[in-house]
Amino acid sequence: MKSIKILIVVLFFGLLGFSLEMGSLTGKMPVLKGKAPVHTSKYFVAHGEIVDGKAVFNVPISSSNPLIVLLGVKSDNVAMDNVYKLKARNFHTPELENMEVPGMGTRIDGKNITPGYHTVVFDVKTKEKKSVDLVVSEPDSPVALKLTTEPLAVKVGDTVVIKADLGKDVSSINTMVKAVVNNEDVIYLKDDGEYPDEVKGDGIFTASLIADTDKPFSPEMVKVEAIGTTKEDVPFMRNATATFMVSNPKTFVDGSIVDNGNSISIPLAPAEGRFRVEVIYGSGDLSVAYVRDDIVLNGEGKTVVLPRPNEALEADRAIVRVLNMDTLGVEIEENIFVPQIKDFDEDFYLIKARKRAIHKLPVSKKNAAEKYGENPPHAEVK
Amino acid sequence: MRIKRLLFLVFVFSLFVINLSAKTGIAFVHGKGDSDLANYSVAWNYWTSDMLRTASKGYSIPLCVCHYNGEDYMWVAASQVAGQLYDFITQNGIDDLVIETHSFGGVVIRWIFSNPNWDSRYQTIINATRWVNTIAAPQKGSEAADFAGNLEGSWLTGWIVDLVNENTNSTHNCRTDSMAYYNQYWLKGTSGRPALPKNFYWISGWGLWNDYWRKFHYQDIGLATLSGVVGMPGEDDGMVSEYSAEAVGYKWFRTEANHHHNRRNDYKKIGEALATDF
Repeated sequence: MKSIKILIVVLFFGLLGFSLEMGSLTGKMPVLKGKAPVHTSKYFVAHGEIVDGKAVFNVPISSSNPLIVLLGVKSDNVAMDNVYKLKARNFHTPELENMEVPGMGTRIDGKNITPGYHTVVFDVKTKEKKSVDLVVSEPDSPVALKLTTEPLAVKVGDTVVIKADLGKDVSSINTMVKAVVNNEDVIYLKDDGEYPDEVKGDGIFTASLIADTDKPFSPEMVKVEAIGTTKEDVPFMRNATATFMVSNPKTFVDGSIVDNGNSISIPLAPAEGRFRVEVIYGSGDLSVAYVRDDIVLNGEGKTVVLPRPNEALEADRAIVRVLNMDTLGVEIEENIFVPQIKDFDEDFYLIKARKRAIHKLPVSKKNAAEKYGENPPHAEVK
Repeated sequence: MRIKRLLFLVFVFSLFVINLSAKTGIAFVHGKGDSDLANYSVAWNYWTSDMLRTASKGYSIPLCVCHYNGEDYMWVAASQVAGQLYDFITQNGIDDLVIETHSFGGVVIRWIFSNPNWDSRYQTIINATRWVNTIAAPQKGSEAADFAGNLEGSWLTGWIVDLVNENTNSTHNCRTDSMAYYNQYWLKGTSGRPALPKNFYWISGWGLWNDYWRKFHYQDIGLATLSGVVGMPGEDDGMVSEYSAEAVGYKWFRTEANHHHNRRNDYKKIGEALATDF
């Protein structure tokens, strides 16, 4: 009898496919459509031509101790406002080029500079370059650009909100915030209290756009530049970039997702390609279990039935996802309610999560960590 | 009683035999960079001979230096790496593989371990692996990659966008928002996601200037400058913040070595630390 049961289980999973995977989870339930990170910038990038061996920049400085960096070439002589010479340090760091940042440059640690517009002149010796970048970073400045594009994962036709929070110190009237989407479309962000902006004059500039792409899946980059003054009339400039991911789905839910108690049925419309069907079970905002399977569609539709794992009996909700394995796009993502079969024991859950986080290092690793590991006594000066 | 004792002895003996038959190997997976990292010699130089020799105990442990195009997305790079690891494992009979990764290499390997059915070779690699050591992996992305996006063009200051090159795929991959997306949908190992099938142990870097002041080492000032310009949150190694390097796996140790030094056996003896696994 027992062997027949085992055979049935093996056949069941065999029919589902060898790619079926399930297990327990700990941590927060994911946010539908993803949670975009906040890009915080206290810097801006200026671009200048090299004329007669000099690169000249007229830049707004909003703090007294900025870090000014010329990227791409070295300079032996740097002057500010044609009045005094700045102490500069040249560097050559090919390592930076791995991240597509020029490896050569000149660094100036500004001290006691009066906020306002300043002209910085670099003497450069180069025949190859006709233009160069200047980055001004102002860690002490009260003005920070906090940029988000929400949501992170969208489909063609969805609305994306671009939010540039410059803080309450900036003058909304004297500040212009502009976004360039994929080096093509230009959008002005507003702080006028009209949709999608929420509060007029709060220093949060907002705009929205409709996600669009011809490709099956496309990361879309938004470059934001803000230029203006603070309420105390100090000029500033900031840059930041953010990306959101646009999917052009091939399939959709043909009917509705059905919870069968011990499984979930997901009817997929006809399509071609490889897809991952995934269910994440949760109780409240905590994730408890997952099940997933990879399938292939050859132009036909299919109802995918995923069993409910034992660990998911305490769940009261689930997120059903279909991901496109050919494009890496999100085809379907829906939140559904599922009947709770067993009471959720949060204390037990937290103990389990804590146990999972604690790991006893193998002896060799423990000894190596003691010998080679170091903890910083203090933060390093950057 | 005798039978139980006998069975116990047989069990212990079989464990001993199994242990004797295990064949250990070591593999290195480099980080992002140029397309020429697809060449074996360039990948070798990325790590340096001293690092590879020290970590493999004077080359006494079979060694595989993976080499892939440093401009590719993680899944493209993973395919190249999987081919090399699969051949290394099957041709040498390796069943106890320790994988050492630096920077983006840790993300590339995590792709393989997160998607065992993606490629028929992945499961063989996972089965043969003892554990993975990740050095300064941008598991939640790098603010330096976000910054690189700003250098593509600046309309306010007159940069002509048409003349500007796009970032490479690997730089896009390393952005913090891209990694947030991949962590949410495609990768295992972060909070709220399925566990990785094998243990990952992280080494994160918190130092910047390293031996700049003593040796005027030219690599260190650039990394310290990039860290300062970008304003990376918390401590970082000049390229990757510690919060990101520590987002996946278990803590092994933190090092002062910056992003240049922590793939080498020079400023800090990272190679010697890796060799303690054998």
